[in-house]
Formats: sequence, C-alpha cells, structure tokens
Amino acid sequence: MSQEQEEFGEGVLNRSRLSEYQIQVVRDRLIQLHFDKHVGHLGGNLSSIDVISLLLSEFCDHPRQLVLSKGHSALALYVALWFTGWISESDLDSALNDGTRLPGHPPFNDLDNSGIAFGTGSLGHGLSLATGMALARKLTGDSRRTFCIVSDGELQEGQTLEAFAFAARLGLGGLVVVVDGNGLQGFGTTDEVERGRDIERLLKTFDIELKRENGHDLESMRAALFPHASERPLILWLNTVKGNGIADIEGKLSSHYLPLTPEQFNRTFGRVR
Amino acid sequence: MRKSLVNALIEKANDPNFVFITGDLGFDALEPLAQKMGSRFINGGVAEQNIVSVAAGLAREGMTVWVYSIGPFLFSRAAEQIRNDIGLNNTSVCLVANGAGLMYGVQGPSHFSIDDLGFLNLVPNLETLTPAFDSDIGLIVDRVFSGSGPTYVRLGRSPEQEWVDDTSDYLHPRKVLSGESGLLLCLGTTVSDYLGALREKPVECRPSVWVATRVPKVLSEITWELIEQLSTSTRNVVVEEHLSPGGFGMNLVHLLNQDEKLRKVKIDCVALDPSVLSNYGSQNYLKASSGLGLRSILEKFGIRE
Repeated sequence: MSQEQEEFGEGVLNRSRLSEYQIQVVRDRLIQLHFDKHVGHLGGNLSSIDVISLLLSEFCDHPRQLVLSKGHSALALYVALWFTGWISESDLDSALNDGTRLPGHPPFNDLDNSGIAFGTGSLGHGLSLATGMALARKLTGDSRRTFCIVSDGELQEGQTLEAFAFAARLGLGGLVVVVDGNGLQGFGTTDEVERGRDIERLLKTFDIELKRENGHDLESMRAALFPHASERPLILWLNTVKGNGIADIEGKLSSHYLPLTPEQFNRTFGRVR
Repeated sequence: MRKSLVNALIEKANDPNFVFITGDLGFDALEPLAQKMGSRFINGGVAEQNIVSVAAGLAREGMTVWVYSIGPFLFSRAAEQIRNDIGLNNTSVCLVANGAGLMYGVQGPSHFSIDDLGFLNLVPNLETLTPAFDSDIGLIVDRVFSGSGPTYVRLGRSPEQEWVDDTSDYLHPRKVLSGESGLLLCLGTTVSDYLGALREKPVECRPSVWVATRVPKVLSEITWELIEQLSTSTRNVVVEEHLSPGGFGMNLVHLLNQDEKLRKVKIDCVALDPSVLSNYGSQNYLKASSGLGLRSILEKFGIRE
C-alpha cells in the first residue's frame, strides 16, 4: 500500500504493478465507503473500479491524465487515488460529508491542488475535455497519454460522437477512451434503449482503433493498454458487470441508485473475502 | 469588428500555446489568421458543444484558446458546456460570439444575441465583454493573453467612426461626449447610433454620452464619476441591444438599489422588446421597433432629429 500523504493533492502518484490481492483491497474499500456514506451509484463504481485503479497504478504519471466522464463513479476515482497515495485516508473518509472536497461527482473547484482533471457530472462532456487535453499534449510534444472513462449509455450523448470524429480527424493517438460497458443505464438496459443502433458498427466508421476486453481481468486490460505508436485514438470497450462482486446487486438496475442494506453488506463481506 | 479581431490575433499568432477553433464559420474574415497559425487554427466543424469542451481541455493544459461562432450557436447550443467546462472548471477560454444584439437582422432570431448576457453573467468566473469601438478589440486580446480567465466577447458591427481617442480604461464606463442636458449610457456599439447626431447639437442641449463594455456585477465596476453624474442628472437613459431581463439596465438599477443613498437615482432603461423575436427585418428596423432608434432616443432628451 502506498504511503498516505499528509496534505490532500500534494502527494505523488505511486506507480506499481497492481496485484489481484490489491484490487480486492480497493474493491472492499469502495464497498465499505459506499455503505458508510449510505449512497447509491455503487453498481457503476464497481464496474469501473478495476480499470480506474489499473490506469492510475500503472499508466498515469499524474491523476490529471485521467478524465472521469462518468462522474457518478467519483467514489471509485477517490478510492483509487487513495490507493495510489494521492489522497489520504482522512480525506477519503471525508468524502460526501458537509464541506468535503470530495463530493458525489468529481469536484469543479481547486482542480490544480486536487489533481483531478475536471469536475464532471453531466454525461457527454468528458470525452471532449480529454480530447482537448490530448490535443494540447500533441501540440506541445508531451508524449503522455490522456485517458477518458465513459459509460456505454453515455455514448447516446451526441457530443461524444462529435468528439470521436474530432479526435480521429486530428490523429490523436495519445487519446485512450475506456468504455465501461456494463450494459445497464439509468432506466433500462443499454440494448433496450439503443434498439436500432449498432454502436460498435458506428464507432468503426471513425478512424479509431477499437478493442474489446474483460473489464475485470487485469492482465487482458494491461495488454490492451500497452502503449504503441499510433495516430489513431484507441477505444477500449470493457465488458463489465454492474455491481461486480456483490451477488445481491450484480447486473441489477437498482444498483445504479440504491445503497447497500446492512443485510447485503454483511452477506457481501461474508463472500467477497 | 471581425477584421480588427483578426488583426489583433495575428499579432499573437506565433505564440506556440495559442489555439483558435472555429465552428465552421469566418469566411472572408478568418483566412489571414488561419494562414498564420497553421495547425493551431482548427475548423472544429459544426459541432459547437464539442469545440467548447475541447477548448476547456486545451486550456486545462495551459493553452490560450479562442473559440469562434455566431453568438447563439455558442451561448445557447453549448450552454451547459460553457457553464460546466469553462465556468465551473474555470478554464481560460475566450468565446467570440459574432453578431451582438440584432446584427444578423433579417436572418432571424436563431442568429440573435439578445439574451446571451442574461445567461452568461450567471456563469461563474466568466467575464462578458461587449466592445464599443474597434480600438477596444486589441486591448481585449491583450487582456485574454495576459491570463484574465474565462471570457465571452460579443462582437458587433464596427462603427463608422472611432469617436474616442483614448480607450485604455475600456473596462469601466467611459464618457465619450460632454453634455449638460441629461445622461445617455449605452452598452457596446449601440452608442455609435447616437453619437453622430448628438455631436452636432449644442453642449447645453444634449446629454453627456457614456459607453460601457460589460454588465456591472458589483458597484465598484461603475466609476464614481458616473455614479455622481447619474445622481445629479435630470434625466438618465440606458440603452442596450439586449432583452431587458438580465441585461445591462436591470443589473445597473439593481446595484444602485443596494445603496441607500443611490436608490433615488431614476433610470429609464431602453432595451429590446420581445416582439423582435417574431418580427422580421433589418437591424435598424428592429431596433426602431423597440424604441432604440435615433429619433426615439433623442426625443427622450427633448431633441428633434
């Protein structure tokens, strides 16, 4: 475990190879945090925590390289930042409290100190924001990549298609778009809501590289994210499970909204460990 | 005013951190800038939401970013992107909205910027500027490049004459014509509609004329000289090419009302009538229909055209 930092956002991002044991520690901390705070959005946090932790542990030099467009997974971001030593245990504990610097969606203020790339919360913006950052890095010769995590339902926002077209046209090979493909959105399954649209076929119309991997398999994600010289942005579509690791809520729409009950929490920690 | 803007930006074109994005507009105006800037001049296509957020991303990495389009295609189409990605995230993007007020005339209300200030002055950290003269443009460009923060520039039609010699204090209301019979205060280029005629009148018969470039958010953004004149003048008229709610006049009256001593100041606010949204015609025709025509304004001071 990384050494905790005394001051919020004044740490360094401790990079290390993420082990299966460590990712379980991170998941457990996320579940505990959600339970303690009695908040929802746990399903989408559990479907994305693995890749967020992997990116911050192994692929980013600074948290600002990662734009969390699906801002409702903020707690997963905070836990991963805690795990990598960027924020302290006490800061993490303060999340969602009155006066906190870590609200339910990534904060807008104090960005330079928090290290968080952007405040988000309304879907569809983050991909364009990350595209702008990737363009800036290309123009200034900064070889670091820019990662953006979007949800599969979020791709219904027209702005994301505008951003894909823009990034492809400008040859932003340093842009990596990770899709949390858990198949469930706010009020139904993505298949139901998108009936009549073949998103994969649509994405392939852009000059972009598209890969599909298991979003809960560190090794396959690691291989897919291995950098290689390209002028084509990468879409890494992850097949994930909403509520991953908690049998009571896995693959259920309610996991988008409802906090864990004490019974669910107790059953979970009986099994997860 | 586009050509003045382009000339001023060309002076900055060699700055490696300067990026200009247009939403597929700027024919017969932006070409010299595009030629100077090379790959840092980007036509982002007809995708305003994306280019506004892309600009925020660029700015977060330290770039000085300008985004250009027709007013409502920015402030209305990309309203949430401006609010969240530029305002709340406080990214140093300069939005350039061509067509202040009714400039697009008979093209219709889809192209009007007559409700922009009402929304944008609520966006945190964003400063809105309505230049009055071409000479204001270079100063605004310098201000943005010095890191002034999120900015919205509302470009109107260039006045036929510059009217003023010194524009250095363009951020505060400026007196551009002396007069002894009342006070006329205008926002942006609208002032030029009246200056020519008023200069021909004797000083004792005409109002003093003032011009502002930004909607005041606090009393200190209004000079004490202006406040003193508003307090002593027999007749105060404020004119703006914007709907009344959220506009210059309403904000000014609200600020004066906050001060017990200034509550007695009477101001006649002349703003656009909502009927301009359903009444088609030229800019001058529509302004006259709202009482912004030269004759209507002169009559308020008892002057015949």
